[in-house]
Amino acid sequence: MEVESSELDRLLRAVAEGDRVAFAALYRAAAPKLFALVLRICRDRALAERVLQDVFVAIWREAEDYDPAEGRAAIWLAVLARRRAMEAVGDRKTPRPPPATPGAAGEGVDMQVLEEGNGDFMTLIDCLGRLEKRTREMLLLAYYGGWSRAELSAHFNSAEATVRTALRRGLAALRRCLDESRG
Amino acid sequence: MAESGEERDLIAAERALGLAAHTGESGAEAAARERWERRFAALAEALAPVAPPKGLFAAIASRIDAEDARAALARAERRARRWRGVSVVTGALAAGLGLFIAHDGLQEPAPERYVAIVYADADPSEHGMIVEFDAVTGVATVIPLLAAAPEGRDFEMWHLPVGAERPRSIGLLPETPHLRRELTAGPGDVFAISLEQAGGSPSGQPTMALYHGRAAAASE
Repeated sequence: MEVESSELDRLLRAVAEGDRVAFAALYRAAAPKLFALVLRICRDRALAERVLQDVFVAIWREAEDYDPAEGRAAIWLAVLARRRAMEAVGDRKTPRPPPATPGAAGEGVDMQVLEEGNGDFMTLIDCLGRLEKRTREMLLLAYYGGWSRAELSAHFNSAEATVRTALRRGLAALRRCLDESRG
Repeated sequence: MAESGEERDLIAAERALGLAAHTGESGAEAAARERWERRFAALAEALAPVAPPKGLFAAIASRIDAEDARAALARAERRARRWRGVSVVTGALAAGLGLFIAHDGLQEPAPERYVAIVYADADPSEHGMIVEFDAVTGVATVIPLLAAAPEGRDFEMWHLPVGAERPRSIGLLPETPHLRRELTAGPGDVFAISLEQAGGSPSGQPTMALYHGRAAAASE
């Protein structure tokens, strides 16, 4: 994964120079994971495909804004993709289809990453692991699926205010844990 | 009610997740949200990949091509305005500028772009058109600099690649700058404009060629 990450970094820097070959290689390397994320948030394949197109056009245009000091290329790409997906969902005139009922917590997760994971990923997983299970699930559904408080409230059969408080507490605990781990 | 630093940061985390809207946030609030976005983004790497449909990359590539082409056209239009300004200066100076471009091209090892400035044979201060060819994108830009042809006549453009015996028509002179994908130019190619009957040369060869220019490598 370290090797793969630094390869993504190299490709993204080449894309910033206008290298079309690197852009194609970056697409092959990064598109499947970004598509998985975009698809979960959009909950609509046709919309997700349009968003993924927008994401890569934006990568081509904005690659020069990538600053390695702010994190690995994989992080920059995921931030850009999730943001575009959330915007596309927000711009929709009709509401998204309801989220699929989540299966096991690890559903759709690439376990290999757990073994080869980068430091920032392992820290985050460790800190999430210390949260109460329900709170952790809420946060993961919010991140991976773009679930709103109302959707979480319906799913967990809790008042929206209760969900709001649980999330706020969870985020506070996560913040403390991440700050401590950063040392 | 004043918010504590921690509370502001937790609101930033909620915004990063999309649980709260981030319209109207301050610069500092946006920076805090972006920090959370990067923190959470590590999760995205854990997702099992899903192959995007075949053909999606081709769609992306063609959108990028179209954008590049639009950018090239905007550049060409800016340059056309500049050259229109140049065409009112003396013939000697205008010719000098033409030489400058050719000379500049020889100095700079940048053979990706070729420019031909097509002048009136009778008056080198009068520009007929500029043809730019970008070897990287394979797109040629034709920038017309002539007023409309006389009533009942048309201006027609010609291309004589190095080594070719006869010029080939590349169409009637357009009214505005436009992009050509099938036109490939190299150094030394000659471009020309002829005055023809309406609709273009009946013989397939120029009837009365009035403007000529040679392509040279251009830096920029």
